[in-house]
Amino acid sequence: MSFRTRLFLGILIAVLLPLGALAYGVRREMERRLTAEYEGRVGSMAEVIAADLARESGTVAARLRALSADLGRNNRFRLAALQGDPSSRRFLLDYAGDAMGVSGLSMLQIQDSAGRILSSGHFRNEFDQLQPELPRLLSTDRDSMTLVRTRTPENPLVALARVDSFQIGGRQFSVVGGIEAESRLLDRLTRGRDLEVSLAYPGVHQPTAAGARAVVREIQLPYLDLLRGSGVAPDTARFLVTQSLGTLEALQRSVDRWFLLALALTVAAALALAGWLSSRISRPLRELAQKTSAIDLDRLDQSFDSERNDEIGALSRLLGAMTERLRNSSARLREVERRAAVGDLARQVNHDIKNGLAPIRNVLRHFSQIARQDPALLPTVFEERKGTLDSSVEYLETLARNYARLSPTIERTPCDVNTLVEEVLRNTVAEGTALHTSLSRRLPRALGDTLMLRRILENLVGNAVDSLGGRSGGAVTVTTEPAGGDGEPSGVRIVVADTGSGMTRKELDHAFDDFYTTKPDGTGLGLSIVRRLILDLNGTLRVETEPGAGTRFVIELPADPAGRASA
Amino acid sequence: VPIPTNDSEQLLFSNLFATLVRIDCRGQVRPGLAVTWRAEPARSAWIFTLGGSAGSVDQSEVAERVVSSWKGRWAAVAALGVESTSIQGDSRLSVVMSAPLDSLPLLFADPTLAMSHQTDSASWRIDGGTLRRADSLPGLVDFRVTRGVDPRDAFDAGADLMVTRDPELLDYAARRPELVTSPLPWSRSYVLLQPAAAGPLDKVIGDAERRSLARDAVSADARAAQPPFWWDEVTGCRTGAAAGPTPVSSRVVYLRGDVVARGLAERLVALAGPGTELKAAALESADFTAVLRTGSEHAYVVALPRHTLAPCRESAALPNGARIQPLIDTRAYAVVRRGAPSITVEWQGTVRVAPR
Repeated sequence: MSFRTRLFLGILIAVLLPLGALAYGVRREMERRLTAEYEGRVGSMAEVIAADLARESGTVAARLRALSADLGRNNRFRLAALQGDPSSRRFLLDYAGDAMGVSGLSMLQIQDSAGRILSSGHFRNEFDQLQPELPRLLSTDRDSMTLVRTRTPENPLVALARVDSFQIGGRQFSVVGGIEAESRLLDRLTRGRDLEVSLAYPGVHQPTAAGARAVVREIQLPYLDLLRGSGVAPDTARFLVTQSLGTLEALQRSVDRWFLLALALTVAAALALAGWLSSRISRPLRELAQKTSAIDLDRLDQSFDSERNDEIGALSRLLGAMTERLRNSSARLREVERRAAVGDLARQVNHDIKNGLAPIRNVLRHFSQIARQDPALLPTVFEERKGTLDSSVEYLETLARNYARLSPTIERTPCDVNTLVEEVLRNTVAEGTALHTSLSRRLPRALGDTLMLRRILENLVGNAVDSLGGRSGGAVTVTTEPAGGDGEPSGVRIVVADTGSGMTRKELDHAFDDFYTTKPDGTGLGLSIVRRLILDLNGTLRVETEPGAGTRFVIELPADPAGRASA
Repeated sequence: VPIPTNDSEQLLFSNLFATLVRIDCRGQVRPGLAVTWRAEPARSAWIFTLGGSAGSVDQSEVAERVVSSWKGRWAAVAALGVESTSIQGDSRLSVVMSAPLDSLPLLFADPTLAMSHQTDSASWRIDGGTLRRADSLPGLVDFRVTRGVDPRDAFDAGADLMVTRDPELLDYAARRPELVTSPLPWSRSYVLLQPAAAGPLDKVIGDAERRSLARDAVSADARAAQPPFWWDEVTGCRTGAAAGPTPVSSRVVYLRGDVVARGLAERLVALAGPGTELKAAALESADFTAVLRTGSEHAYVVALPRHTLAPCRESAALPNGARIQPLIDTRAYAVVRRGAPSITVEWQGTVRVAPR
């Protein structure tokens, strides 16, 4: 998982947790408070509705009492009901319908003592049908209201019913009346748009608003279903006072929408922040890693300067201090190496001088001996041994020249490497060997010493030519190219490649040792000098070789800072 | 010429349109457009001599109008058994029947074969519910539609004749000495009609129930339906009504506005008992006609003419194979102001204003 992804997830979690907790808390608190308020409201409304029901029931009872009183005095009803007077029969049949319209009732039925329907208002033509259970069950508690489900010709009728009775000629008659409950009564009871009053009775499901939560209170009433096929048994119906929680749900949906919006914004912000932070943090780290990976004992010129005041700046400065310590350590190490080399050199010089002086001493001893024994022979012997002296002297002079090369004086100036390469190759004697160049036109000037650079090139080109051993077809190629830097080169790369015999691993390990040579007449100081010169110029040297395939010496020297722009 | 479907149309159409012959309330054939008639020897052709009330006009023109009018609705005319018709001379009309008849077919008094008295239809005009006719009858007769108006107001405003089945109106007329109330022939039979596949609702109806229906369930002058019933004698009719599917409803349907049918339907529902799902339902005329043809309802309370000269035409609207249970007969009353022009009553209870 990338640093940016981890950063994104971290920011997201850090923001989402409190955000989610806030949304949950708001929803829960809203639900608790609103539900409590609704419950109180519905409870109060249920009490009001219960009082309304009682009042309606009382109204029905009062109207039935008035009708009973009227029927008791009515002569035509008396004639029809008691005497069976045919001329009054239609009056009897129509009486309940007419009375129902006048009294404002929705249901009215007059029965005799046997339960025979004498007149029905809500179902005019159900006369002579027997329904004794209705007044009987309603009479069990005359003061209570009962919900009755009966029928009209077209539809079932649910009414809030009461019963009354009267006597004519010693015969008992019942009057059952009521008001329609499912629409008319409910319309009267319903208050407010969100507050719904519905009716539920056995066999009829009265759901609340589809899919919506609600606060519900019940008002229970006795219930009689006259349409039930097998007998009539008291049951219970319920008026449901329902407060829809639609407002609460709308608020919660609103909170949800805002939460989702905040979530979307958070994700977007987290993405942007993670991107910005990762670029601000990881890019400097990558750069530090690149610089650190380039650090080598031969390449301690990396700069870790930073103006940042944060941890990255501190780390950069620590790496810079470490590099500085490495640089100092490297210098000390190089000094130790130099001193060790000087000691070796002194012993070698001592040895070489002794070797060079030994013939001279022997000739001089010979001359002393001749002078003592036969001075006249001195000219002759001198002539004979003069060659030995000259040879020894020449040897010593050669040694002196070679040793003189071991301690050059460095003078760093901008150097035109391409020109140096061309001059060196021009002066190189290479019989049977092809010399090639591949010189970059955009090569910046190298910061170094022209003489030292010439000696480096002469040694490497000479070694390359020597490695070919005069074989025909061999080639030496010198290549120059800019090195380092993304846009502007920071150094100069010189590659001297040959197609010679190459080096074994062992030979490579000792290639830069002083006085190590594989050539019969070699001094073993060439590559040693080359390496020291390059290091003195703050450059690097890398060797790529393979036995039988040739060798590539890759030199990288710092470019002249002032000359980069003109390169 | 439209076929009347209620008392108002019957009163109006019988006075606006004339047939070759008329049938009086005793069933006797009386002259109409034709004054005499005779049969050809084979009795498949009948020769009518025109005259009568149309005598003041050119009889050849009347004959041409009869032929032209019949050809304009030939399918209905042919359904009555008329094969062809032609004019013989100036005033004779020859009608060839598809089958020989022993006596003058009464169907020549059927409204299907009626035609307008008038030669100029432009003389008819309707003004705001009043259809005024200026015809060959002496004087002027106004026909007023009183729907939506208390019919008692019409009498108070001076109406001379009213045909009604409303007991309240008859009670009002009986209390007015200047009005005479006369019962008309039993003209309408209410039947319970059930598709063949419907449950046996008609089984609960016996003579006692029919009497009770006539006495208590309806608000009209009614009696238990008495035979003969023309639908029992219908044979060989080409019925247009398809055999209905198994009824899916539990309704007893009736035509909205027909209070007698409503009372009967409701009483039938009451008799069926509370344990059933049966209920009464009123349907508008178009809907009622449609469900009557399909036979998709459990039962229908239908008003049929007590008498008809064209039983096949009447039965064509009924579902094929339906059971018909007669319930009650009803009749209308003619309420006439004393001193008003005389009226005649025809076989099916139609009232015609007699010429002065």
